Amino acid sequence: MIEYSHVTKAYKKKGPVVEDFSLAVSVPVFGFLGQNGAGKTTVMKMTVGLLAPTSGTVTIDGIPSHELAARRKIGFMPETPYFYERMTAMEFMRLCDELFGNAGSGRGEIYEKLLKKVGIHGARNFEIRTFSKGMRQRLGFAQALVNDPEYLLLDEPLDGLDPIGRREMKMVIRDLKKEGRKIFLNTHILYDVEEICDELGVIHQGKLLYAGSVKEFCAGKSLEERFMDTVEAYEAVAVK
Amino acid sequence: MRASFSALPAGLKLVTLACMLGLVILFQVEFDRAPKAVFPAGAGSVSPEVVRTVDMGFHSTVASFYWIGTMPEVIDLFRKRDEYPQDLAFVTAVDPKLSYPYAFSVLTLPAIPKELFPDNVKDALAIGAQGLANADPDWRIPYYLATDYYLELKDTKTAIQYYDIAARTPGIPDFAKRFSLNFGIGENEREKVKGLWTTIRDTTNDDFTKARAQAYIDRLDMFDYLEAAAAQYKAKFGAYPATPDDLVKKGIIPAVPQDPFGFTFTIANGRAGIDLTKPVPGSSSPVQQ
Amino acid sequence: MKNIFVIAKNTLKLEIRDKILYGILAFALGYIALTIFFGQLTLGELQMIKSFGLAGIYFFTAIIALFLGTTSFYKDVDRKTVYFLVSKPVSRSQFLIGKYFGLCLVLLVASIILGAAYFGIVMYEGGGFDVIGLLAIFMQFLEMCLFIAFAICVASFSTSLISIVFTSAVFFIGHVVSALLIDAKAIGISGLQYRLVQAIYYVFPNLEKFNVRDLAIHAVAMPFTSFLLALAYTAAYVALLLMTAIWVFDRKEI
Repeated sequence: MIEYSHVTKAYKKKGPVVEDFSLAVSVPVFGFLGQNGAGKTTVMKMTVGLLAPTSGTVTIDGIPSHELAARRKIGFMPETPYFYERMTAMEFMRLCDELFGNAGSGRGEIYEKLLKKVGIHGARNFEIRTFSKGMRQRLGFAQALVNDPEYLLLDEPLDGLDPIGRREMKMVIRDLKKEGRKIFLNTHILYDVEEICDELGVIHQGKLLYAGSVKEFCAGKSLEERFMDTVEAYEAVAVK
Repeated sequence: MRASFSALPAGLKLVTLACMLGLVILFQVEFDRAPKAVFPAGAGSVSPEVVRTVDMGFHSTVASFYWIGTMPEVIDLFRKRDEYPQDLAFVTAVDPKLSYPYAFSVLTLPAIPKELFPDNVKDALAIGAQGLANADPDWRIPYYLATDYYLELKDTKTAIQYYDIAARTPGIPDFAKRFSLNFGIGENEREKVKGLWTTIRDTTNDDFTKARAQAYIDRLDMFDYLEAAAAQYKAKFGAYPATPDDLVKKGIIPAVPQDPFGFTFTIANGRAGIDLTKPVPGSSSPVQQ
Repeated sequence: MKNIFVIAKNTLKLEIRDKILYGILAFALGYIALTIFFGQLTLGELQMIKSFGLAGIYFFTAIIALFLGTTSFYKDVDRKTVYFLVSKPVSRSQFLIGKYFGLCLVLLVASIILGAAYFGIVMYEGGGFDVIGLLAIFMQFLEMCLFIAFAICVASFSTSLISIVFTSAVFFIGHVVSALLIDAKAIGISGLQYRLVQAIYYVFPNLEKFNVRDLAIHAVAMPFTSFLLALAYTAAYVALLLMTAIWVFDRKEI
């Protein structure tokens, strides 16, 4: 279970980017929904230990997120992944794997399997600088799986993919769910949340406005309507 | 290891860094104290000609760079380590036009005690002459040479000639120019200096030098002239005149003589001098230096 | 700890693929080949060849060190390639130290390649195997290790451009600093001013100690104590710099 307890992240000049955020996530697929700049990426960065909360704690199965042990349980895919351009896909997978302490020639099969899963097996020995945006997205996905993690944290995983790519990746996510992993993904695309998420969290201006089942949230209406309602209701209160 | 460094509180981190810095300084101190390698005598490596070939025309830069390392060796002369002359020769061979090494040598070499460096003055003068011949015009070379000749060799005749050259070198600061042109106007020196310029004037074939010497003689005469007039003034009026104009006003002299070098005369307590509050003639700066 | 090795190995592998590095190495090798020409110029003067050869290795490895030290680390942070790595069970300090050793390895490879060319030429010109030249090249390598540590330290809290300028400046000062102290004494500066010059002398990296090229050229041995102290000095200073860099980098928001 990933648990957030009164997490606040404030910058000196910008003010609070995430404010008093409390949430416990233990469902297979949790979608974090919000506009750009709402604080989704900040929350995710705090979960993987890239940022430290100003106050409050984030734990993964009880381990604080800043501890290295927590990172063994997770696979992280950043938004707009940047790679070492002159590495090949296989080399990159090996690098990520070695950082978990896994080494040896036997692992090569695993990398190939993962690359096949995300659909870039054919390009595995080409340098990353030749990859298209979609291919990079897929590689980002693959490296998140290299340590066979229980939790997957994906920041805008379907960004930049064409319609076929999006469908393929959604199928991969469903497979991962079947394998028993827990997936926490950031997105601003309502349609994706409706399609693959079990629960969702609505975040707006750094605050968690709703967390719970997607079906209950919608309650008969479209997700878009309900999302707009929630946000507008918050803003009406906030202005006062 | 270092991973645990990250976990230390800020105060301890600072302490650790300070300890590291302490170690750094300690090792440096010990290194300085350790006995150094001994070079065989006469270990010269690169020849100046080759340096000039490969330095892509950066003679001045390269020479300056070597010069920075050479300058402190003057101190080593006090310890009987005489690398300085050969290194100086190297620098001046790489760039003969770089003037500072010559000037520096002329100034500092005579300060080395004769017991340690018997040729100190002789070398200084030779280097100075070399500098005058080869280097870019630098007022310091003739100026320091003049000082050396006057103080070390008591050769006033050569000194005044070098002071003259210095005064005419472009770039000479005002104070040095004033000093050079007015060397010898004091009562005690005046006759002697006048005599020396007279000798120079009479023994030279060079018209420029003749004219120059004459100018010095003329102005020294003017000092005498003013002082004689002041004495007359005192005899007549019971007190010395305050300014040379007073002499004219009271009819002792028809007019204040014009200094060929452009300075303004003063007369105080019967002694003639030059006005220090006015800018040095021919200098571009309006500010007194 | 193994992570440091992984990152170092990876850094080495990646930087070796950098075309710019090859360009610089090619230039350096060309230059060393040219030293034969200098030999002809001075009628086979071996000291000449050694002098220019060692200076060349020094100059080019310095350029490589400057380039790598200031851009490699900074690029990782700026281009966020570091996101992937730091979300793995690798601490930031392991990443930084791994990067440092990786870059030193690159310098080592460069020194070996250029050194081999140098020894080849010296032997060709009849100088036998220049043992002290080996020492000189090693000392230069040590200096570069210090240099890279400095570059990384500065890069951890400023941009590439600033670190290039600042590191170059410190590098220059580091060489002038010994002469500066002697000059100060010679001019007769004393008291507080002299203490200030002394402070600069001790705090700024004192780089002249790594210059044993003159020894190599004149075939004079380096005293063993001096060698050990130079090693100790380097280790201490690198530790100081890297710790500072870690401190800054840990707190950096990326």
